[in-house]
Amino acid sequence: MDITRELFNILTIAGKDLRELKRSRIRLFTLIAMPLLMIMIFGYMFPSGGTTLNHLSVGIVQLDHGDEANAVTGKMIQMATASGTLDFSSFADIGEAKEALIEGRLKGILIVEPGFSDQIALGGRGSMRLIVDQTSPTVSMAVSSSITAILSEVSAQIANQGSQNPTMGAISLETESMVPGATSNTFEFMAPGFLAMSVMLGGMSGLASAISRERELGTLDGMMMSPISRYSVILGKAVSQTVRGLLQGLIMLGTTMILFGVRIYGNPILMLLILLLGVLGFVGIGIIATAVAGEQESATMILAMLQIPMMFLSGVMYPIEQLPWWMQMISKAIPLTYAITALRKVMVLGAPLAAITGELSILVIIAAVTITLAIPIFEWSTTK
Amino acid sequence: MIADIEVKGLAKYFNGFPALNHIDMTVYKGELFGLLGPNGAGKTTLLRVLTTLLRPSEGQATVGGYDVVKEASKVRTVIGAVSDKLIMYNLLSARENLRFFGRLYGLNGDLLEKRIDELLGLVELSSWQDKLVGTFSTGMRQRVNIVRALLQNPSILFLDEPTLGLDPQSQRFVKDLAKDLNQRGMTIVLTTHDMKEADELSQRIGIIDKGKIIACDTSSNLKKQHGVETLEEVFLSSTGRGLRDSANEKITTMRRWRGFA
Repeated sequence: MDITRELFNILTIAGKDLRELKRSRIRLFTLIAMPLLMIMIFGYMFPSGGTTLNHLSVGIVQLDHGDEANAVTGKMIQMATASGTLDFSSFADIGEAKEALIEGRLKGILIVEPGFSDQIALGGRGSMRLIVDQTSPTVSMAVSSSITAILSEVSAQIANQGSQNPTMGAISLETESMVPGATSNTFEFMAPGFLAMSVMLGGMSGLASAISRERELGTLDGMMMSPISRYSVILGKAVSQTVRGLLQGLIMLGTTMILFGVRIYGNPILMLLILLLGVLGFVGIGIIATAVAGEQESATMILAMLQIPMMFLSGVMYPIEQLPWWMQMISKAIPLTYAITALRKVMVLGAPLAAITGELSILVIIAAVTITLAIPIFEWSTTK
Repeated sequence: MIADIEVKGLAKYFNGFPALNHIDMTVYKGELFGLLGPNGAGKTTLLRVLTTLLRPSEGQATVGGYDVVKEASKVRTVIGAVSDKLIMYNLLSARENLRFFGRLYGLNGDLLEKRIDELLGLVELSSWQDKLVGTFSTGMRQRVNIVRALLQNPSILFLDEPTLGLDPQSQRFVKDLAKDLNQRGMTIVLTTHDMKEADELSQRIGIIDKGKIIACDTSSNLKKQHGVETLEEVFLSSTGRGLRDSANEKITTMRRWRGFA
């Protein structure tokens, strides 16, 4: 074997590939933008100073309104406000607070149990109960540890004022999950995210690749020359991708339930509805990306560039609360965020339809807007 | 004579480059019209505009009496087209392919199945109807491709280099089929680089170069006008002997490959 010749051939082929890359503006753009995007997301997601979760909303339900109870909750609110870790708000009853937690407005509920003041006054242990949102183990752990720390300090302060024994034991805290008996399982937090991500991003890239392939093979011309509407062409492709996506979703769901013990507390029909609306929104985005890209490789690169922020900013693996505020704003513009939030509420908290109408409405709007825009853009791109 | 295709001042620009440069052309009902031109002359672009796959930049074109822009969906009901690509799915059988495209034209049930039987018989592929077209030879695939364009019984058929890459037997078959369809009254526009084929099949010939129709008449009149014996000589005398680059013809593809949006 002539090594010099082989080397020459290798360099010739590599040179040709790089020349092609240089001449494709879209490929070149994505080549530069992708690493920038990834490093920025990871850099801000895991800042060098350590990750902190601040301003987590916690509801307080006082079932005891005695002086001691008022003093303790007052101190807690004062300390949490000063440190910025928790934002407390008062609720009249547990039902109202639970509703807020299911809707995602609260990350935990602290209940001051009846008889709290009497117990403290008698030198005993006042009881509090903390209900955490088990859709996110990281957030529930952060809420739990912040409350424990604040309670410990409050106990010490009360003791120093001479009204109680200076031990943490002065206030007992019991922690439970929103769904009775459910434990906070990291994979239960991640499973809805993975499910939504695979189904929706799969639908988006699958459709884009199917259209690009048909365009390059010429079969798209066969459909475009027939007297059917462009809506039929696009929606026909979208339906097949949706069916594929839902099938993949069912396989993933079955596997997580059988192998990893993930439980579903909510209505499976609601889950399918969320996935369906999510896929439709992503299909529209996929069509627009394909239309703009023109050919398959550029389309794949554009879609990869869209998928990266969606994967990391939509709360699939990490709670959105962990992100800097401006990334949280971006995450609010990503349809996957709403699909994951809704799916998590249904799967982990057993949320009813009423609790996810906000997310569903946003998914419907995104699907309607993207598909409405996608069809003329698609037609323009094929006939320009 | 009734005009079936009328083109007036038709232009198509790609990034300012005139792939079609204000073309005027008429194809009459029942005519087999040959469209000749060097690589990059604009033949495929013209056919793509006439089959509603491309939107013209300027000018007008009517096909079967319908405007290709304003009445594109009506145009699609009267045309069939065999493009330079084989429009079929390799993982479907010949019958499944034809059934799929037939349904897009509103054909269904027994009517569609009978039409498929008839067309597969016409191209002698009845015994292959349930085989995947991915296993077919190029000639067989082109025969399926042609009958796909005939499913809805179009009154106008566009054939873009239908014999390219075929063996002599398949070429003969396609030419005889085109003649037969034309004799039954179908208007056909044929693009080809094969001068003998154009001479044999076409009642009139248009020569397109640099996006313009530079000659249009019967083959014998063209030969007389140029004082030559063969259509090839007419072609070379009209378009010159210099080699052409193919930038014009391939510009649409290039735009896609290079990712120009």
